[in-house]
Amino acid sequence: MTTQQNAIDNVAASSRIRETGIGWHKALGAARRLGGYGYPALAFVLLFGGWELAVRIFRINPLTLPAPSGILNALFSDFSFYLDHAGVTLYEAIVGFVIGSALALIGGVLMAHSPALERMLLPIAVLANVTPIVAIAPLLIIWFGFGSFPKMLIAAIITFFPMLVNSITGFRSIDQNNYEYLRSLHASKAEIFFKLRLPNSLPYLFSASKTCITLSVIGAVVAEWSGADKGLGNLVMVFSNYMQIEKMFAAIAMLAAMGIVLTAVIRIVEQRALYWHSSTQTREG
Amino acid sequence: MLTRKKGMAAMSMLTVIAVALAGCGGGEAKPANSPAPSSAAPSPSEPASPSAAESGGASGGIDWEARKAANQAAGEILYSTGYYFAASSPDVQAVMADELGYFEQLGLSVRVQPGLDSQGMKFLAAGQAQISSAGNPSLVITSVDSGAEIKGVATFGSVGVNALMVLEDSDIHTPKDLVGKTLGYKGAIPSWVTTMLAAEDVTRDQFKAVSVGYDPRILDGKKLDALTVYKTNEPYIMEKAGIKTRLIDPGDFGAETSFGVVAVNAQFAAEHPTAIEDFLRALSKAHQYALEHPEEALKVLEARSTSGYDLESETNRWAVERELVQDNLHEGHGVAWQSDEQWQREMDMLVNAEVIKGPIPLDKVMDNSYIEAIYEGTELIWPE
Amino acid sequence: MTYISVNRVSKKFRRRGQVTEALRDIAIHLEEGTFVSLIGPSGCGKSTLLRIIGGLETADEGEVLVEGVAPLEAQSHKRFGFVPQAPALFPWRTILENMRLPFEVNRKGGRQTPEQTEEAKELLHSVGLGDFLNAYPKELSGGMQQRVGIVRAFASGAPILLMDEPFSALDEITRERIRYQLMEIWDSHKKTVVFVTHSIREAVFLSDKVVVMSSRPGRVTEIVDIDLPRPRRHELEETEEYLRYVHHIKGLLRERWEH
Repeated sequence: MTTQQNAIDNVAASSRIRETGIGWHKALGAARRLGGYGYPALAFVLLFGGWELAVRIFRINPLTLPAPSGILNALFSDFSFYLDHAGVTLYEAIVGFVIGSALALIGGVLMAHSPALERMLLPIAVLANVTPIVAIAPLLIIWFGFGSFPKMLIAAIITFFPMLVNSITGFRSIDQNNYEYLRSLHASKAEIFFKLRLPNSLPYLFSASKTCITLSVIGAVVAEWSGADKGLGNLVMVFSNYMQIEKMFAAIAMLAAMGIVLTAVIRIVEQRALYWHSSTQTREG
Repeated sequence: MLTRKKGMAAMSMLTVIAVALAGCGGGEAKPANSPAPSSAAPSPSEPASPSAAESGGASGGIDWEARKAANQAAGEILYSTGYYFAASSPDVQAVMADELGYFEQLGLSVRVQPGLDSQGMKFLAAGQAQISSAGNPSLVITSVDSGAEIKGVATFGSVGVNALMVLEDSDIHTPKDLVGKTLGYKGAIPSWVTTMLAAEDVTRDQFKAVSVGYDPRILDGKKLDALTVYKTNEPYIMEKAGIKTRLIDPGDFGAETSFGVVAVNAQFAAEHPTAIEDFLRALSKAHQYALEHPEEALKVLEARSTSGYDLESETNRWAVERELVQDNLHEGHGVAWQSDEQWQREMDMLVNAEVIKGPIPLDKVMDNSYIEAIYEGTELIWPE
Repeated sequence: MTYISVNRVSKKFRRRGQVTEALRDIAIHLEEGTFVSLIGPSGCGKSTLLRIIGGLETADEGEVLVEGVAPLEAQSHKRFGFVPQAPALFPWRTILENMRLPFEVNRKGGRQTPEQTEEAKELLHSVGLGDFLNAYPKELSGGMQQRVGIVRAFASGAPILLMDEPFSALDEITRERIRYQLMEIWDSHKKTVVFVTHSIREAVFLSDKVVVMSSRPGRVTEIVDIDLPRPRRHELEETEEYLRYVHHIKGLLRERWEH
């Protein structure tokens, strides 16, 4: 089945290449040869190359938008400094994500089994979701101080709702035949949950996780703006204030890299865990 | 695919954050005919602008008509305020000058646009604004250090508006009492804090510094012991909240700053000196008016403000500020006249605090020729 | 001895104020080891009846006894092997792991013994799925998955199998092949089977008894004893006797239809 899929891919890809001309063909060919990493690499090259050119050609002021070369220079001339702060934000984001997800799962289990509970608690969850974190963060800082905890809390809050909704859906949208089958065996509610609902919810949970992990990073960053002494969010604000825009962008670049890595990690875990799901494709080479 | 999705995730994250941060607060529309420094906007083919050095008497000897023509040829000037319509210099003066028709009288077409001074520096650098408010010389200097071609042409307050606030009953009285304590700052640790502490040999590793938000009530003496504030702002807020506080003035510890800077796009200023001079002229006249009619000035500001306006706090802000300005005028000069020394001392603080790598020649960050030209001693030169 | 008895069972469904009489006064008595089909037009309540027998639904009136006890109790002793219309395989389990499912749930009946595991494997082999023991459901076609469902029911140790139109999602050819395989398996296990179907040919071929039902309300029209020799081979489908049964049942159904 996978070689079949690959074959189809190849045919499609080669016909596309024929259509679009030689130079483009070479670029795509190179991209293809690099395996799955080729296409995004090409896209990045085009994006940053174009950006660099634009800044030079249009003489864009470095206060407004620095060139990628300047940003990379700022980043790598003091890499361990940025890495250090990145570690702080990463820690806040991950712990917050874990807390938020755990609470969402618990909430999901309860609400999936009790429509009454769902009707009562879901509006509250929605409320938490729509309240802008920029408004909540200062309050949390006042209550809990300047340490990591309020940032984790913000990351948890921002994670909670999407994970909750996805877990409820995942727990509920079980195949009815499978459900009936278990009932015919007189399975208990707990058995039905662990053997059917929980594995069924995994695709939904992974899907939500990929969004929520980046949201958690953003949450940690916003929380840092309200009160912090370390972290990439703090750096962004400090550099912005000192009008050191290249360094500010370097911190942002670090954040972007963090987002990429975290999403990639989840994707890898997902590939392993969802081997059975129709959405995951196994590729050779 | 694994990487396609991560590529998209990365790009969207980068784009979102970059857009949100780099462009936040500003992004207002370009003025219709403001010349940008890098575009080939033709300079007006005018003779060298009439200099006020010709003046013999407060207004005699100046060809005001020629100046007006030169000012008109300069096109619309976009002026960006430093903190929306807060009652601080030079925004109060600029708004009143606009309101009272002083700009018009001098042939200037000025559009006053509310904004933040940090964004204003970027607009100036990009040529989208010609003149902007800057909170202090340090802001202009750090911008120039990052490549902006702008200069400070006037400074209303010759002493600092910054201070360190502590609870009245706290045991912090001088900088050295901060050892082992926690200091809150907004945005970044200001260089005057570093200098003030260095004056008593306190180094960065001897105290904790945390960035905080805008509510000063976070100064509770427990998780925060000291807070950087504006003399014109937070003390009043705390007073209204019934919290007793005390200020420690950096000026007492060799870290005096200035406030209320008018910054300009360097190229625009070079091409249209009369416009800059007359702009400052109008501001100076408006300053007198705002001194004598503070309630009216506040009402004007309030009317222009689109979102909620805290009239009480702003009234207090202007009251404290104008006292600072008037009590510290330079001997023998009009208001907003700036000395090299004012700028040099801030430059030195920035270098010592390692905010900028090295000193920048003063003539790259400031230009006194404009403010000099509008006064005869302490008297403002104004057309009859 | 009556193994499964359905006495004067009635069931109504209420939906948005409308009441539908799904079953009215149903009476059926089945003996152990017999293969019984329930056939009838859509809406005649055959699936509902099946589910009542299996304890998945409750009757409004009447009584059902399975091995002398109420369906729910029989269910709690895992006396039922259920095969629903679409294959009830868990996608995250291999075929062999899916076969294990009935032993993992409701452990009062005990865990899967090594003998039972062997039997599961053998049965899978016998229906041609020997190469797919460790495959995942997504790798199997619909027909193959349904075969697993059936084999699972037989290997589960439950004495009563309830099958709810298990072949209706399959194409004609696959359907026939599975039919024969089902017969072969049943021949060697001789479990009690209650089989719901639309297909008269299927019902006659497979069953000892065919319960012909009619709809609106769901009633038993007639219970036809199928006296054809066992084991049932596909040549049987050409014989006159077979066709007579088919014809007869067709008539019964048409009659009701024309009312």
